Amino acid sequence: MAERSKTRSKIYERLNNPELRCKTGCGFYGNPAWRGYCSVCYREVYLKQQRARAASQSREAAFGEGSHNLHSEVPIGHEQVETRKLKFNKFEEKKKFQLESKKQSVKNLFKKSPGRSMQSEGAPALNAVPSLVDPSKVASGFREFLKTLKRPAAQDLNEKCKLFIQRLLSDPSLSVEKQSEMVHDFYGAMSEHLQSHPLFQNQPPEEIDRTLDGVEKHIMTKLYRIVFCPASTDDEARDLENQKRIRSFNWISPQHLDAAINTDDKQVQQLIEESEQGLIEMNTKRAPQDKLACVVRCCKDIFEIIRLSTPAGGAVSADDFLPCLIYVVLKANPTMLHSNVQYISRFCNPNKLMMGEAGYFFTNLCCALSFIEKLDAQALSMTQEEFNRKMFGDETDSSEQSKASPEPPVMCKGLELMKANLEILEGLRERQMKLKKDALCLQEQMTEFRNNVVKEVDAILAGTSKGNMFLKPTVTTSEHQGATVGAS
Amino acid sequence: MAAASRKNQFKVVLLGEGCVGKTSLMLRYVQDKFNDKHLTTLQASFLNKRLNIDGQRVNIAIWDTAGQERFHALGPIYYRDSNGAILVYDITDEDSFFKVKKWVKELKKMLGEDIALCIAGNKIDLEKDRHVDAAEADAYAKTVGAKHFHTSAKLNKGIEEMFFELTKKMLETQEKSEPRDGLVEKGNGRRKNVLIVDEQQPQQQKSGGCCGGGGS
Repeated sequence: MAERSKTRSKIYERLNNPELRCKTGCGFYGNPAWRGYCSVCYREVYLKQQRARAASQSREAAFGEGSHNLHSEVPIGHEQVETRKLKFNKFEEKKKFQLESKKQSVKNLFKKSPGRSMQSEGAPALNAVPSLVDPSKVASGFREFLKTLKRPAAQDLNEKCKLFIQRLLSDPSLSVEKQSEMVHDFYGAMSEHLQSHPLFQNQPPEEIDRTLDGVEKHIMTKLYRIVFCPASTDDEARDLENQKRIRSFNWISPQHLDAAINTDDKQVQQLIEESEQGLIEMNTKRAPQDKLACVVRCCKDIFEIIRLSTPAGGAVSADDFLPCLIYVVLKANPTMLHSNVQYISRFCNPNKLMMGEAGYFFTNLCCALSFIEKLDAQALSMTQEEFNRKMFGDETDSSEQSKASPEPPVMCKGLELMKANLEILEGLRERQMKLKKDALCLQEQMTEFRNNVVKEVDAILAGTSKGNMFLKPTVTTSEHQGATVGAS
Repeated sequence: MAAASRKNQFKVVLLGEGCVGKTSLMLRYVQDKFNDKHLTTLQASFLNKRLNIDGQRVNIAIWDTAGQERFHALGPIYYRDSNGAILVYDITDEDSFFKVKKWVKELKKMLGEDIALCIAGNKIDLEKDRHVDAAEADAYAKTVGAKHFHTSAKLNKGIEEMFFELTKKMLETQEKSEPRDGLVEKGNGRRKNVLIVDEQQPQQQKSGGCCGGGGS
């Protein structure tokens, strides 16, 4: 008992030792691992230190940025300082980057906000992707229009649009053709109405056109939900079919279409990608005019592609243009192409489709689509067998590769290379076989020769042992050898 | 492109086999007046041309088409809604003339008499290699109601006249079809719309007066 109490008192003594307490005197026990502080105080102290260090680092880096380059040239010896400096610098960079990205995201917020508010105003959320191509520019015209629409003098326009939209939305029994007809009539009536409208009396005709564009965008954005790819048509089925079909044509190269595209040129490749982007983006727009703008952008890129691919220059005719467009459509395989084409031709202002550049390009797109839908061996000027082989050969391929846009020219190159390599290997194998045969033959001859020599030497030895040892042994052997060599 | 200005707007398609010189014809015609404007843009498959005929301002849009045989089936898509067509053949190539006959048949079937036709025997600078009989071509053009022109894009011959004649013809067709169009197609549909809208007008003018733009 006494022993126990003794040790206990010892422990108490030790525990009461002030040196064991936390250095800050907070009353808790310290720990050498925390440099004599208790855990709470240590954390505080440590954090303070860290902050101080970071501040000095950033200060150093702030006015030492230029000098950092000098430091990096200092060899060995300064290595440790060096690495630390580098670390500081990295830290600085990171900080800067974060700041900048923050700034940018804030900027983006400001940038995108008008576009977004426009969309929310335009229609209840659908699966549309916000437009990426300078929304400010596209939207500004439309914003102007919406402003005009709010003016008291333009209230009749606003009412007309509202009424028309309601009329279409409230009657789901209407066929697409009927809807299209109504929309066209509405455009016509609106155009007539605008010409006699007091608001536009002293305005240039461009202003009326712009307002008409605005009307088109306004009503079509609201009607989009019910008139794009409606269930009453086979648009969706056609889209799926086309997409599958185009995927199975992944082996078609510009040469098949006689398209003047130099696929080796980097710039051309980039332009091809851009033009594909234009076509793909078409599906993300709602208003027919915006979709058309995508088509026009794509076609402008194609003209540039042709210009870059034909160094001789000259005018680009439709003979050059259409094959390239077809190629780009095949490569891009845009989603819902048929639906989009139908939608534009049904609901775009017919004046725009019949006249003007946009109409021409759109017509060419229709041609390209129609050509692809009927594409066969004859259209590619190849034989039926060749066509079938390409189709079936690639059907298995495409099902394995999914749709990760396989690049036909590259694949063909790879296959060609493989074929060439196989041929070379075959030749090599043949040569090896021949070599082996020859080697065996040689080996046989050698053994035969050896046997002969041995035999003869034996015979000679037998002859010499009988007597004339020194007379002519060498002569005979050389004679025999000569004979055997001659024979072999 | 408001409805009023659309009146004298025409769409002209160029049809013909590949390499007969469609694009050259078109470039020659348009470039003479818009020289600097169109030389810089290399795009030569769609061009606009403004004309003044008898005091009427006319705007024609010329559409080039792909002439390769493989694209023949796409013709209807190109010439849909066009007011005029120029069918080009190469006088040194008989096949291209047969092709023109084929186009004419198709156009007549699809568009009837609404379309103004011109046939151009191009490349008369190569007269010595002529393979298409001029008299025969003239006779054929007459039977289908088309004007026949001998042109050369290289020498700039006959092109201006051809487009001028075609435009005149298109103006005539427009005048002829206008009353019918106005009554049957546009009139009915539009009047209905306008009527309905008119009924609404007094109402919203009231609301427009008191609460300004708040209505929208």
